[in-house]
Amino acid sequence: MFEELLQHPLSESMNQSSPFDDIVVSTRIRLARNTTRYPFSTMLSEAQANALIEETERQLNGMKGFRFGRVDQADVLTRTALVEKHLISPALASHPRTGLFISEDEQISVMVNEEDHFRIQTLLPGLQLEEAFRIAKQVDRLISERFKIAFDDTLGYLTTCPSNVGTGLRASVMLHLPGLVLTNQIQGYIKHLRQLGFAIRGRYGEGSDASGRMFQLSNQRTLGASEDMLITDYQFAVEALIEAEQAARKGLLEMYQEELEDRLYRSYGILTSARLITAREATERLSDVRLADSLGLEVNLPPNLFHQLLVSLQTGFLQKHFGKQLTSRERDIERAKRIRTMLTEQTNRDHTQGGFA
Amino acid sequence: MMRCQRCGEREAIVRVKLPQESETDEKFLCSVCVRELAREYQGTACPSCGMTRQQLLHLRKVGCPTCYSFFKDEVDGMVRQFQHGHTQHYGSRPDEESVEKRLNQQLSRLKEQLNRKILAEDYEEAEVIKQQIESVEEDLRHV
Repeated sequence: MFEELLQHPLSESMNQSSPFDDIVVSTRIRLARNTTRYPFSTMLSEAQANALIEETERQLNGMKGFRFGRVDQADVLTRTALVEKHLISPALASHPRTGLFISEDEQISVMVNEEDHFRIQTLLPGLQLEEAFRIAKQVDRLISERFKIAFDDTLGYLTTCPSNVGTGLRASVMLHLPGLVLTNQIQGYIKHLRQLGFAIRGRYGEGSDASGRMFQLSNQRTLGASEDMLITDYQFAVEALIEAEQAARKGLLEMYQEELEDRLYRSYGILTSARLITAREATERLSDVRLADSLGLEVNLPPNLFHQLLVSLQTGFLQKHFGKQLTSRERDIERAKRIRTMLTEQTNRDHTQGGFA
Repeated sequence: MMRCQRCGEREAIVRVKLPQESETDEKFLCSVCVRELAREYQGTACPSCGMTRQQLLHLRKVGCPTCYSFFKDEVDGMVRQFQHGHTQHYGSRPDEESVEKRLNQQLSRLKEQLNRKILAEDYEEAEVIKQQIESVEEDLRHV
């Protein structure tokens, strides 16, 4: 079943235009849950871990539109690509004895035997916190009706790590923030948000440092406020970042129009001509072109295509698509080829739609 | 020389406050006894899952729901640190019913009432209940 999930870099529902998709790439909500019937992952035996997977499969079998697969039995490329598509967490990909329930539209993943027995995750395009939470909560209720859930009146949902106790809720959005990076404001925002209790890290090909243009913002605390309050606070933080990014983009265009246009058009030139390109450079150039498009320059890279490319150019996904392990040189060649193809297709689409005929 | 208050033989070299004893009394211990007590303390295991205090402090994770109460002092400290001082849950609970379940229960209650009204030949009331049933059925189609 994992093969089907990896046919396309984005599911149909992720490939739609969505609120604030100019800046917010995707929204994820996850709920951490454990059943009282088994010890937590830290003390779970091999036999118990397998029993939990089997019991979950039996209990959730009736869930309409869900499919199940053993993640630990998939090969490493498949697991990497699933992480790159954000359908599973890196921890689930590396743990032994793990399972995944996933909805047909790929919006809902229930990870079994991650750090907690169940990690319910919903993934939506753009900024859609409330909707993502609403869906996660529905799945949470289904699971609560089938399993006795570890819960304490004072501490709320009990989790393996006390950092998730209470609501077990972690919201995380992926943001494209080239304006804040190019104007050197990002470090200030990162520091400020950390003080307010939010974690923000760089994403995509840059390890965890903040030198890239993609950032993931998440809440740190999960206790002491209701889910709605946590989400409201979090939404404020995201909106503040969005406003700052919009202002930075506008300022860049006003102050350095020629320099900016020069840089962005050059990046477009490189992407449409390069024969070898690293993931790092590709991400940065694509970010430039996406910025150019959002500022109304004569290039076209809509948010969903940008997102598609970000996923499909990752090393795991690229090799999965190619069907075998590639050397780093082969990956650079393949990556450059895919970018040229996809950008050309986009240009052709624009021309047909633009009524040139 | 002050003797160790545990073995009564060796010379006491440290003053310790034992965690289990709530009173403020402190003990003077020798180097052998203090090491033994520390090992015992660290080796204490959760009766439910077997995780030791040492494991818990090393991993900063628990082994089961019982650990939260068995290692209360340690876990509360971690919670406060991770949760920026918060210690009380205000969110949802696992025993909350799903919308589907609630509506289904409502539906069977209404159907029972309808039956009774019809048996009592109270057709006006029955009509009202029938409409309520239809509306619940409509809601059910949306969950």
